[in-house]
Amino acid sequence: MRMSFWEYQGTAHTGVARVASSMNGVHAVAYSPVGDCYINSMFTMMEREKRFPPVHTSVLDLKTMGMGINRLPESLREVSHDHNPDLIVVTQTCSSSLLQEDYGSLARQANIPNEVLIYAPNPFRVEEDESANGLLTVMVEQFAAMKLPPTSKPSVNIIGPISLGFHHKHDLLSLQRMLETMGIAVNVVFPLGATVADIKKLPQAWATIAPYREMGADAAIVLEKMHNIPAVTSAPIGVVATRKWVREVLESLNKFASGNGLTFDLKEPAIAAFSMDQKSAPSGLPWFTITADVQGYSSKKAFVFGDFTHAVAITRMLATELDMQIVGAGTYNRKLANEFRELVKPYTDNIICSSEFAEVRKAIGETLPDIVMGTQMERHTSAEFDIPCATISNPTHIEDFSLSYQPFLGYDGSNFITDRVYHTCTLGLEKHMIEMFGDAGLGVEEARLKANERGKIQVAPEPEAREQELEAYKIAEELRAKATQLAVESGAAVAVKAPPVAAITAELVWTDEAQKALKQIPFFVRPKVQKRVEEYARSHGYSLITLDLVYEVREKAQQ
Amino acid sequence: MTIAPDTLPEIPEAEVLREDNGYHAFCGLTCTGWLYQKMKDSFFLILGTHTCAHLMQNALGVMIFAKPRFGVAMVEEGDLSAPQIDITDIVKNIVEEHNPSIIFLLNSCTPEIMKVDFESMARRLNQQFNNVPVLPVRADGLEYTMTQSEDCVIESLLQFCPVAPAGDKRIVFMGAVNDVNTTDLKREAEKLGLPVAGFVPANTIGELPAIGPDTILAPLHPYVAKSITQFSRLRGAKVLQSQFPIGPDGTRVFFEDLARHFGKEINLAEREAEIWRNLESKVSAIRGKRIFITGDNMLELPIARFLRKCGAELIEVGTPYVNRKFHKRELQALNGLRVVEMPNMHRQIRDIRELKPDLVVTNFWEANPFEAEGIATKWSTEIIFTPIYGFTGASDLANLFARALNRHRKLDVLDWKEFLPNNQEN
Ligand code: SF4
Repeated sequence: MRMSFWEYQGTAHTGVARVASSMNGVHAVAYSPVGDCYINSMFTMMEREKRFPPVHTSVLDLKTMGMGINRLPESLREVSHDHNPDLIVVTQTCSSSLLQEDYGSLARQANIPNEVLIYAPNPFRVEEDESANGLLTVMVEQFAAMKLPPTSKPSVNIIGPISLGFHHKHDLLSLQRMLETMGIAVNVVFPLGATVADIKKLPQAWATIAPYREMGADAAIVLEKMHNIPAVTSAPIGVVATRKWVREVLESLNKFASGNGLTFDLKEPAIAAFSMDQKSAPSGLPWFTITADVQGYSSKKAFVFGDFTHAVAITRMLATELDMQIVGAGTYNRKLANEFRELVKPYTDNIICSSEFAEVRKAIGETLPDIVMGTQMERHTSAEFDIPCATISNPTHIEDFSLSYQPFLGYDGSNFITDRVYHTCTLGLEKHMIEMFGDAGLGVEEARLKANERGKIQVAPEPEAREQELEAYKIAEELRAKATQLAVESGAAVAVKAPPVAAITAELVWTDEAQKALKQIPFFVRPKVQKRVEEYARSHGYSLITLDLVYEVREKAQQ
Repeated sequence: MTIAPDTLPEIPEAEVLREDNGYHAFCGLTCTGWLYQKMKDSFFLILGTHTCAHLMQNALGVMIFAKPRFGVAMVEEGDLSAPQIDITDIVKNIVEEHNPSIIFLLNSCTPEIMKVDFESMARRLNQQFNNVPVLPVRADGLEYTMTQSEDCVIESLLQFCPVAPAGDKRIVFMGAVNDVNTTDLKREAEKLGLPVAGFVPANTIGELPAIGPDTILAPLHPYVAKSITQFSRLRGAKVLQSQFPIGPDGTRVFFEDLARHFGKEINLAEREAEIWRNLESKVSAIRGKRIFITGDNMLELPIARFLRKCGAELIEVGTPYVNRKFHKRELQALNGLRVVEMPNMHRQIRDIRELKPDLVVTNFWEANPFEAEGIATKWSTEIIFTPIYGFTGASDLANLFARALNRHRKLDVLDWKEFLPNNQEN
């Protein structure tokens, strides 16, 4: 028994629904209470999926339970009749799992022509990603067992991209672009857009690419075991990793070719071949890091948290390619904790493997980094601490299902991630400039931010448009009022207000001079500096904070 | 339930069909999303599982900031075989950290199937924390949908309403509506010379009104049937049997019937007509349109009645649950329409594709797929969160539908249909 305010992952049946929703001709049927159909709204609202999600709830309620009726056969018949899918996956949720129904025999009672797969992992043990990943493996074992002759030209499978995956659709496009440049065909993408017939074709590829450790890598390894098709399971995130990945893919194909008596003559293309114009570097990241104005990154502290794949890769990328300091790295995937520790150990001592957001929040509060790369939750935590934050992993928000091309994988991904880091850090860089050139104009900035909190109508619109504008303005004002009320109520006020000048604590006294010095510090870093000074004073037994002490802390901080 | 006989005219009602497989709606837990905001000194503690926690953060899009006033006491694998579920420490923490005046303890499906004795669990906690009442609320998805559990929450508040003495003849409005609406309804009643004691629920426990044998309980929406029956049974209070104050038509009937309880005959025809005149631009967008309500929150009956008054043609009115006695006046107003209780969603999708209504009022997850098929939609849940009550709420109400319909008309003139891929449903 524990108290939960928020979870990083959904449950096992969410994972099953994501697999079904990725595919064509596959339907999931969840035996569950009616309310568990809520997951469908994630597909149509977050991801703006156009189809009715192929996830059917076979309703468990008290009345039928009391009468000893199970509606599963009836539901299977309805799905068969309405959609006639190639495959129906039967699953359960927390509450229905307690009833320990014999799904196999219930499915047989349905007496339908469609293939039925029972996949009902224990929802109290298996979370969303593990469940989806496990289902991919089961499907490969079940449908890709038959050996097929390899394609005549070199080809690869891509296993992993999935519905509601973090930027997965963009990642897929990035991989496809690179493979095309390398002269490699894509045999099957699974599960996104795949059918059961596609799974059966997996064994004809020369290699399998599975960039996400927690989603699809196991299926790729199973395929390797079954058919000797090499699995490339590294994630091409960052320029260095991408280049290594390109070579790894080519080596794997070569290995397959020589093992199967096929000819293989592909070479690593010139770097420029990967760029949009075929002339320049495919990623501006290396030059970006070298430029003088990014030197400041060397002193920047980053905190990284997310799923396994993104947290590992982004940690490595920030440390080795953007030259940042990693003050903490973590994942909520506790089952891969050991592997995670091994991989990020070279970059930080502060490793957090936990699915409790409060622990992550505590770690962020203790390290006070300059930038946080995390999930939706860390965005909120960072707002509380007034630290810039970018999302790099699920769980996320509708805003991460962007219309424009925003991949994380490959050379294109390196550009996007670097931009994201840069835009997130910009405020920090301004701070750096202010330190060098003084705080001229800062007051203006503060006033501008305040002014922005008021409405946005500045240009007089056309008369007809004006009425609509006013209407929209009214709605916006109402929403704003509601949001403010909510924020105040929930204690998030600190996140929406500019931090006040020195809320001087009772036991510590700041001299006038010290206070003045504090006021001179840009408002957006002021609370952090104040906190640092006060902590320092406390730990050194001072109760009076003098100007000298402020400078003493400043000196210490620069060491 | 005490009902003045003259308020029950014998006129024909809509027939209600009942389907009960393939019905989809939010479970009872989701009432938390709105009620915790309404009752500012409360804490909603859900005795649930990971599924329930995931529902709360996803379906409601509720983000947790520093001090949320709801949370899930999560039943984990080890608890399944434990002799007893003990949440004392969790409650202790909530009391210390949030200092609520009241804790609602919501059950969910898993403890229900485990046969956790929920009532005695709450009783035990009540004894341990004697200054913070812990109230058990039925909210599991095995039996309860969103608005039905709201009824359960409200029902549990009776014990905090002081007893009004005989002769204290005032109105208590029943149903959680937002403050814009409460202020307005109270003002409207007082203008008519009808004394108001207060609202259940109120923003805090201390503000709950006194209820006694001469109180007139006036239901504001269709999902307080249980609580109103209880209140009337235990305190002998009278119950207003009328339409609900939704739309100018319903609001007029509501206040005229309410006045009758005070021996007054009032005629609000002119007031109603004036509101309709003000709404004309919006109503004209609705008039003649064919509307299908799939049904998931119980507001459907009065909404359909309002839309019908606007001149819309209602193809089907789905709704989770009909209480023939409590909803009698609304059913009368819907006579001749197809009303379906616990509708089968899959059958509805087939019908909607065939009948191509101008507007489908439906849940969060069906809306976009319908839009993708070229059918305009309105989120049904949005209606719950909109201040639609009374004469002044009518404009917001009409606007919900008018905007959805107008938007489509406007988007249609832009020649961009080519950007929309074909329907992918297989
Ligand atoms: S339907 Fe039951 S198990 Fe599902 S979220 Fe609601 S209460 Fe929890």
